[in-house]
Amino acid sequence: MPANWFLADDDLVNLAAYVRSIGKIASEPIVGDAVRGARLFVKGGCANCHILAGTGMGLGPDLTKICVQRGPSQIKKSISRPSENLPEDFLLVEATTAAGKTIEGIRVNEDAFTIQIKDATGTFHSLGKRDLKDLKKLRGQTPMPSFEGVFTDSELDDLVAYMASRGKS
Amino acid sequence: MKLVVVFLLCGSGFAQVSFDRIANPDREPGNWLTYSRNLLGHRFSPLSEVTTGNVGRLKVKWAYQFPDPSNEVSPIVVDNIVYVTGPNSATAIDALTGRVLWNWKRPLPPDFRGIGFGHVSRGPAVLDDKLYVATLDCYLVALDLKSGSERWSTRVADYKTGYSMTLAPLAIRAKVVVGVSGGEAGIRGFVDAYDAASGKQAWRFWTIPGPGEPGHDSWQGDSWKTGGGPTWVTGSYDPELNLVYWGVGNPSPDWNGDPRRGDNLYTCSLLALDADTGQLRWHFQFTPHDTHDWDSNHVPMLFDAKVQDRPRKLIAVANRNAFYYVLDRVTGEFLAGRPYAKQTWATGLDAKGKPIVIPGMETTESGTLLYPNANGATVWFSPSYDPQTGLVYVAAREIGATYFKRDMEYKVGTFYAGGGENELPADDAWGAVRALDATTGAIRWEFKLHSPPWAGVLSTAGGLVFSGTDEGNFFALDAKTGGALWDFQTGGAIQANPIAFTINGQQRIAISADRVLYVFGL
Repeated sequence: MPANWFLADDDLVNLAAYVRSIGKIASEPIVGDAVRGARLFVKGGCANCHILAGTGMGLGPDLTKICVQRGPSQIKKSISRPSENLPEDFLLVEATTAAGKTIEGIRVNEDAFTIQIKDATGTFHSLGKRDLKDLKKLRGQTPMPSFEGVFTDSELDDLVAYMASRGKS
Repeated sequence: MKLVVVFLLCGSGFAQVSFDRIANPDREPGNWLTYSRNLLGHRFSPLSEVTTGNVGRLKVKWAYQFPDPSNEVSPIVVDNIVYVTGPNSATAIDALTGRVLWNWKRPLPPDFRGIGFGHVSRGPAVLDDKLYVATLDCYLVALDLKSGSERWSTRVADYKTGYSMTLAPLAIRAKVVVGVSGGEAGIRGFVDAYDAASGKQAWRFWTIPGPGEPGHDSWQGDSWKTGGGPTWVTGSYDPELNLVYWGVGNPSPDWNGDPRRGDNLYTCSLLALDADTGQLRWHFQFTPHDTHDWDSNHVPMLFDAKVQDRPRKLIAVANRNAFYYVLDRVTGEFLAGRPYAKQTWATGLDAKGKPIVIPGMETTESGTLLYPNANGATVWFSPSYDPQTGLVYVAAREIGATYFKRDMEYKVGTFYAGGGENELPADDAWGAVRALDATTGAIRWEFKLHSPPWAGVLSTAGGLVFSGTDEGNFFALDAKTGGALWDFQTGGAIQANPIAFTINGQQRIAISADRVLYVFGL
């Protein structure tokens, strides 16, 4: 965490007051059925990309603590319309090598000379930019499909309840 | 092997570093005797063992780990010994092996608070038999080159009122020149010179004119007393003209200009000071009445060239406000200037070099979006002037911000900035190393960087330009084309200036990355 040198004493007091006020916002209740949610978690193929309580594939974000970090409404939005709720610094890229091979995946790191990409199988690719024919930054896109119209609002509640029941605080 | 090292250190080391040696660095290209290698601010090395043809074979020869992170040091190298500084510390290192020869540390007072900057030191200075260090708690300390023992220390200012020193001192003829930080604490800035032998103050130039002094009427009421004008980056020196050139930083409070109506001289300016007396010979203000924290704390580059077929003594600055300026260094006359990075606050410069400001660019309560951001199109890290190509190389930052102002009451020794900025998202920001025609500022080439840089630039007679990135890349470019020739991942953000030197006749390139000093060679 960088030093917030630019904050005056008054600003620090105000910031502390704001952070304390966040904890006073009423938490949303978890209203779904965790047993039904477990079946939907399998039906949606969620574990093909996400780890929950130690089980699943580690391609997308770990969901073990997701219900601690985010409220039910925000999680439901991310499932229904993932491309509209991308995490900060998340970027899908498509790199084409000089030999014509195309690699699509999540940008793990990038600098002036290299880029590291994690593809849909979880394989890391470390590429030199001088060896690339093209590098597309697919802003606003994600490998996660939209579940809008796939799950009802009630089913989304069930999914959240399941993740909360399996997750850790 | 140990016997050889002992011979080297005793046989050729610890020679007196006379001013004559510092003023004539090309006689001993293997040393790096002042902040920018020469007093003219070039950060150019005449070493040519490492070339465009073999730079791809550069490898780490040794590394030194600093006790503190986020190092911004530019080392000094004298006769096979590398001298570095950290916050309130200095170390002598064997240039062959990287082993420490001596350490010096001054305890930092527990109530010291860096207001507006990190706990850093950008390097030492050397003159005769002493190493000079500027400390965070505002002491100028002279150390014995052989042992690191303290010869004298002089209090430059009271840190409790917001002053500090992060810069490398500049050793000139029999004097050591320093400046101060504190532009976010409402200090009244100054440039000081001290007798190199005794530590006694030789002169002081206040960067905010007091009552009765020229420029005082550019301040409203008593605002001059807390007007800022810090001097926290090492200047340059012309031995023939006997002039010290020094940049002055932002007015205080930074982002709220309401309490300080006027041009606020000599903030955001370049000063030419008589080295014997500290008297002002001329000044040039880049950003009158600044409300964006655009310090003009840069290393000025001095060179001679023809302008409109007339030989001129020139001084050039790539400014934080995104314009590149060329002035006559005898008179301060503006000769040329143009943007070298994205800026949205001025339509250009007038015939005198004054910015033609677009209406509505002043910071507001609700926020004003413009380029560049408060850290500017470049900052404290050094540019480089290459006499072989006639190009200036500068690490440029492409980032905008929404600036806002707030009411703020001045309290001694506390943050006094009157607002702040919200930077645009990281994905909208990038950087570049750019080559500019030294006399016009026209961009000749650029090498793009992933994010806005914090590293300085070194050019060498081998036809190379070295710099670094926030992602940890240290790299070499072709000085003529900007093509990338070599890069090395250091593992830490590079926020320092590169140097070059020799050990046993072999060229070395050194750069600090976070808390490690890397030394490369073929």
